[in-house]
Amino acid sequence: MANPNTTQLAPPSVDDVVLGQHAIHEYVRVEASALAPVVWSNMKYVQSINIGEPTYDFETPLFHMGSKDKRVKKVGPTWQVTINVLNGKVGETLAALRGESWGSSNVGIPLNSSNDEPQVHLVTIFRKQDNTTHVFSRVIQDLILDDSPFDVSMQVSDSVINGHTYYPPFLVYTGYDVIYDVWDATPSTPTYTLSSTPGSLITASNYNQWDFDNAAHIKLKDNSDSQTMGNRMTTGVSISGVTMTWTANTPASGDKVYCLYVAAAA
Amino acid sequence: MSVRAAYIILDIHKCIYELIDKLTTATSPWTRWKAVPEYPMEDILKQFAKPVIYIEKPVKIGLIQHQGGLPCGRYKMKLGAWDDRKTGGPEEIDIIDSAIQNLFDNHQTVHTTQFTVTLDQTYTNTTLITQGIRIEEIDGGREIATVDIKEFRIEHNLYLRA
Repeated sequence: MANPNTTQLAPPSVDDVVLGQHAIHEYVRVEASALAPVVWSNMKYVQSINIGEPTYDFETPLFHMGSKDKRVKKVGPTWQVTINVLNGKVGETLAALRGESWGSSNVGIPLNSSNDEPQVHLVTIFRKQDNTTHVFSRVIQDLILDDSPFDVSMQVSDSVINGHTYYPPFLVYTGYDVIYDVWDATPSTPTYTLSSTPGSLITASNYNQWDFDNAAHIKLKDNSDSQTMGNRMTTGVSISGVTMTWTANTPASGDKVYCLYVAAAA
Repeated sequence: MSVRAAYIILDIHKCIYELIDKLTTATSPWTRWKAVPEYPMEDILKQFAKPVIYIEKPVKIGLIQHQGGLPCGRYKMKLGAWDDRKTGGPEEIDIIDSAIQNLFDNHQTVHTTQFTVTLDQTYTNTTLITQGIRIEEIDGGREIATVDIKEFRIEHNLYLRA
């Protein structure tokens, strides 16, 4: 009798698994002050950060042109995210992710969330057992923080901070860093210089919700429209080398420009 | 001002020993007993007129981890008591058993009782809270068999984080 496959694979190597213990999580505020690049902050006390497969639901709020209360009707994927931290550090973590101070100017922090705009980008950097050598990274972009529970048990335990995003998470190859550049618009200037040379991220035409091969997203917050958050551009802007060039909707006074991309780690 | 990672076994041991030793020099009924910093050999035991409380070195039994960073350790230590005075009954060992449990069950008292200890430097009138030790629980005393039935021994397991 012939055997269709007689290959015996070698055992997995010691580095073929990544453990959460050796991952480090970083975040930046979506509405960070203009800086290229924005500095990522390390997250402490994390037990796990999980993102599941997307669900496809309607979002019911409606879009009002010209109104400050901008609500968007979306049909499309929603990824649920859970951030588990040691329960003694929930308040501190919530404050950091929301960009608030807890204990100095304000001593209270609600567990419910009243902000349905993206708050943070998260990067999880997976490393080998040495807590140093990069294996790969996972990016969760435009995370919206949701209402969170808080339980206290008799044992050492963690507590969950809930969130969701409408944009796909993605993995980043070994040796590449995630970069977030933010600019206050220079009026009538169609070019902006990125802080690093973007790597080739994906072939955007092969995927839904991807518009650029060399950036996760480019956003523009239009001050003349009283926008409270940046809106993703799909056309009218491109990146070549370190130069971002606007061919439409050139950012004007009071506008803000954002770009999330990857570059070879320094 | 806390137990040192590179000397963690030594430093935890010293702090718990000095805490109990301070009680045996200053606080009734502890003044009826003698603290010794390890399991005593019989010839050492015979030198003491009082029942001894021996404090063995801590053993790591677990970690409290967070992703990306160093862990905090959980430890178990044996605290034993040995009454070799051959007074005829176990009453004194039962009192020692009770005093040890009462001390470590009371988290307000045990974490704020002052003692002096030398680690990297001498800390005078310090406390377990200040030295970064957190008592979790103490279990009940187990009877340990002795060669002479007129002697009495018990041992506890003390669980802590540092």
